Amino acid sequence: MSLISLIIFCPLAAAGIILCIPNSFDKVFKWIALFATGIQLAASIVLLYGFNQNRLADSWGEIFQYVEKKQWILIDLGSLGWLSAEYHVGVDGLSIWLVVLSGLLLFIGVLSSWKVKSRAKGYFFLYLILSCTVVGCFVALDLLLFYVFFEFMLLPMFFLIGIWGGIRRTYASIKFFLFTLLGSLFILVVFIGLYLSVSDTGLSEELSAQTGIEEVVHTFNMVTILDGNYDIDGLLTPNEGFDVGGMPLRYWAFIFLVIGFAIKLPLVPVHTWLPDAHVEAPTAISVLLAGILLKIGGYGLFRVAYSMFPEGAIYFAQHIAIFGLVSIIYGGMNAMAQGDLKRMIAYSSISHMGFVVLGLAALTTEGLNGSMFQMISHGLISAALFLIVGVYYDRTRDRKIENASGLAIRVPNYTFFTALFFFASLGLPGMSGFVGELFVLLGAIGSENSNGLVPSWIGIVAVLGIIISAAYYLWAFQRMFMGRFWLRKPEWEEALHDLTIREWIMLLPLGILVIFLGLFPNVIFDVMSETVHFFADFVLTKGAEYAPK
Amino acid sequence: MSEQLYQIFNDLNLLKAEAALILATVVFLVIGLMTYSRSIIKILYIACLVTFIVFQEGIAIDSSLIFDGIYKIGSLESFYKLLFVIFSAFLVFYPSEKKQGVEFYFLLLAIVVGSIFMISANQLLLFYLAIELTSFASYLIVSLGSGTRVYEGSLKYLIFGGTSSAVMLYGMSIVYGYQGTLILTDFTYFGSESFYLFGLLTAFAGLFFKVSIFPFHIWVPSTYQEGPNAAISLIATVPKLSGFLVIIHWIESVHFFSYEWGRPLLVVLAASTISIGVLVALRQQNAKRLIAYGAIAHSGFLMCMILLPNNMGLNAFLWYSIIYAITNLGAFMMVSIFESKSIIELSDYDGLGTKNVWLGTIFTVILVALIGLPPTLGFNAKLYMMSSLLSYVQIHNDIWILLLFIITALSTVISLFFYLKVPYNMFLKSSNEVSVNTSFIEKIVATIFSMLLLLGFLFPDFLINIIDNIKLN
Repeated sequence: MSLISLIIFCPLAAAGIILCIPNSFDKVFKWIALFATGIQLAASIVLLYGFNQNRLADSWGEIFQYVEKKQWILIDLGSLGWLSAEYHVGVDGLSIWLVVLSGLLLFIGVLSSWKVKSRAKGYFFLYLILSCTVVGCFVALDLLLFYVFFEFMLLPMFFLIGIWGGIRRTYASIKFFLFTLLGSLFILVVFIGLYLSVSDTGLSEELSAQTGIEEVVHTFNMVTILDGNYDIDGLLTPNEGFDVGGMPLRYWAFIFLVIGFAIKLPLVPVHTWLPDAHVEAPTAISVLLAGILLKIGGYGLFRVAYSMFPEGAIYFAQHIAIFGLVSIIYGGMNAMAQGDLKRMIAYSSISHMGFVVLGLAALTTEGLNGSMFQMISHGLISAALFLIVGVYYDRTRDRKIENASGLAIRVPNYTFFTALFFFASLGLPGMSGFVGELFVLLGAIGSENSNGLVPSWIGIVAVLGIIISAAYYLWAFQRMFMGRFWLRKPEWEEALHDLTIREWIMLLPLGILVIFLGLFPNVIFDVMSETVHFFADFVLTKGAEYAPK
Repeated sequence: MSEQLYQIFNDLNLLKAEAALILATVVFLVIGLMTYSRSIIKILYIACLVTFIVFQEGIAIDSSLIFDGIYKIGSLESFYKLLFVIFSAFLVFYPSEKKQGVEFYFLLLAIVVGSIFMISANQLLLFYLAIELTSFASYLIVSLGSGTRVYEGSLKYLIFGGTSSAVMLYGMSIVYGYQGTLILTDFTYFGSESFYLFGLLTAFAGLFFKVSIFPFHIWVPSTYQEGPNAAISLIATVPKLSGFLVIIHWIESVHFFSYEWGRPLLVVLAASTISIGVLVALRQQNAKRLIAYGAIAHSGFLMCMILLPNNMGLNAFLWYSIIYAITNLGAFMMVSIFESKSIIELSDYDGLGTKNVWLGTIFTVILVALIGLPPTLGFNAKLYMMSSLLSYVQIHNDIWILLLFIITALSTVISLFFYLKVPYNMFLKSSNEVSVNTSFIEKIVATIFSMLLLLGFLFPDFLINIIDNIKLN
């Protein structure tokens, strides 16, 4: 079995093993989960190590590495032609870091769920299924496979929030499920349209030779679609002239994809599920939600929406940039108004994911690099922040900012990590948050003079977002950690002790990485730069070529 | 004369599976009346169905008309007949209810026989006899339910069913008057004579009643709720699918789509069936009623593929119908397992998941398949349906079908909301933490249903091969 399949299916196998072990051995489950995610992490690091970052490519077919391909569904749908879907996986510069990030966070997530006692079997079973699907999403090179992973993620997530969550967990889990399902249907509609417009010539000839009649094989293969093997009169073939409501169908398809992925991302105004889901989810699930699941929205924009509909990306660049800007500012303002620490961090996530969209919309090399970097950096920082909240919540069962002050005196190590990640998140130079935001802003402000897609004022206003985030982080820090030591309820004092070894193991690697990547961002950039260059060129040239005439 | 006789005897040979099933059914009734042991009755019931399978010669049969064109055989028909028989064999594994003696299983067999003749009938009279056999058996079997309001359900069914049969017969006689023949394949396109159209539409109305298409769906919820579970899961699958196959055959025979209003009419019916089904299901508090309204919506989805030209829709229809049958049999089985422990309303399901993890998981898988999400076969069904709709739009630029496509997509979100109520109550709420004792065999059969849905999704080759074997004419 090759490396990528190992990363995808190792947790699934572990889930199967968990299913067979009786409930009475409830101590074993977390070790199995830790072991499986450990293999995922190790395998993804091996993957990164063997990744050839200097590979030059002229087409998407040459970009992907570690490619595995196996026919999965091939059926005859009558006069529709054949439907072909493959088990087709591989990584490129856009996805490799996200795979590594997932491996790391999934591993840390198991550590942070170490104390899960009630129904541990179900919890770790669902957790492992989730681990399988999130990684599958990043490596899938077949639209149907991608969709299956994308959709299948919802069920474990629904139960994980709904069963092990906080007080309003049922409301939050249903809201999460409905929002994301609605989004994924928008995506499915476009995927079906794409598959009907693209055919696999090699497979068609092979089948025609077998049956003796001319056969058309429509395929979900992403690489075939990216390389532009459109049929002559397909529904979503560029310049085919299908108009709905006075706009080419391909623009509609682009809008649908953006809506679908924006819900996952989430972008204002479809963000409302996120704060609820975060607040109610158990700590480990919040970590995964913020650290990985939101990135799938961003990754989907890169991989599907922007690469497959480049002319839409160019046509709507300004609108999308404005949505990104609104997310940055509105998310930040909301974060400032929150009294609940976890809710504040959830809104700050919305604000920081806005940078990802802004950098993408600008379509300059700096912006795209920054956008990708921001995803990785936000993955680390937000995961750490939710862990931080979890540490405090474990002790006091409370998250209100106003219920504590002067914690720095009592729990210095905890305070140190909180300060570290707060500063990293607000974009202090020398930490990873700064690099991502800086590059995004450079790209957004420079776009007007290089490709003219996004006016400079959007980037300039977005700088306000950093100031807002400094305001709410510093204010929260001052209220909770500075001043006289005081807690709302005296019994919390006993429970409040400093970090345990397990918590050190969770937080320390994240802290080191955040600083390391802030000082040496090239580690990230070098691996993905070839792909990002290719992506930028591809979107701009194909965007001009596909634009409706 | 002798040649004609020779032909008839020759054709009889092709009918031996059906003949064997009828004969076995009669013998079953006679022997069954002499015994009180339910397990013997169940074994005999299975034996009857096996007789059919033994005499049926596979599904690779060339299409032809026998008995002077009144009976149609072919791989499509044989496939569905086998499918009906296999599905009805599963019914013995449902938890038994009070009034289920030999007559219950006899009526089940009668429904299967009627459905088998329905899909093969190529002549209006034979068709009418077959559909009435199915209907009469269904009216009777529904009244064998053990619910408190069972007579309301069965009477509703009888009155609506009888009226619709009469109306259909009336319409068929008008169509016969114009066409001058009873053989469906000899029908010709007859133009827009208004009385003829009136007859045609009334005949179709009767068929729509059988497959619960809006506005002829009103009997479904009460009937499904009150009838015995095994019978209902049969009625919801076998006669319904054969009804759809008949509709396909009729549409072709009378050249329904040559009328310019033909397709838009069916689009409107399909769209309203789906919308009514999913919207009313949202408000249901009873598990069986919920599945009943879901089944109405699924009728609308099946309709979506019928209103496409055959070479586009039929393949997707095959997939959808098989998967629909598996999911519905599974869903009704789960409901009846819980119902036998008097867990009936949705609120009774609260917290059951804690003690019955396995049953809860199986039920969740089946419901996820009903919604149409991966990783279950339900997703394949929805996918093929949506792609056939969209490809019709691509070729014909038809705004009606595009609207229908949008409705099918939106209804999936709504159906998530109500189907998910069951696992939501089971796992996310915590009040009624009792454990449901089920027999081992029930658990196994229910597991088979859910495993079919999961494994069929991951390894679709098996189903693909079967469907490829059906030579579509």
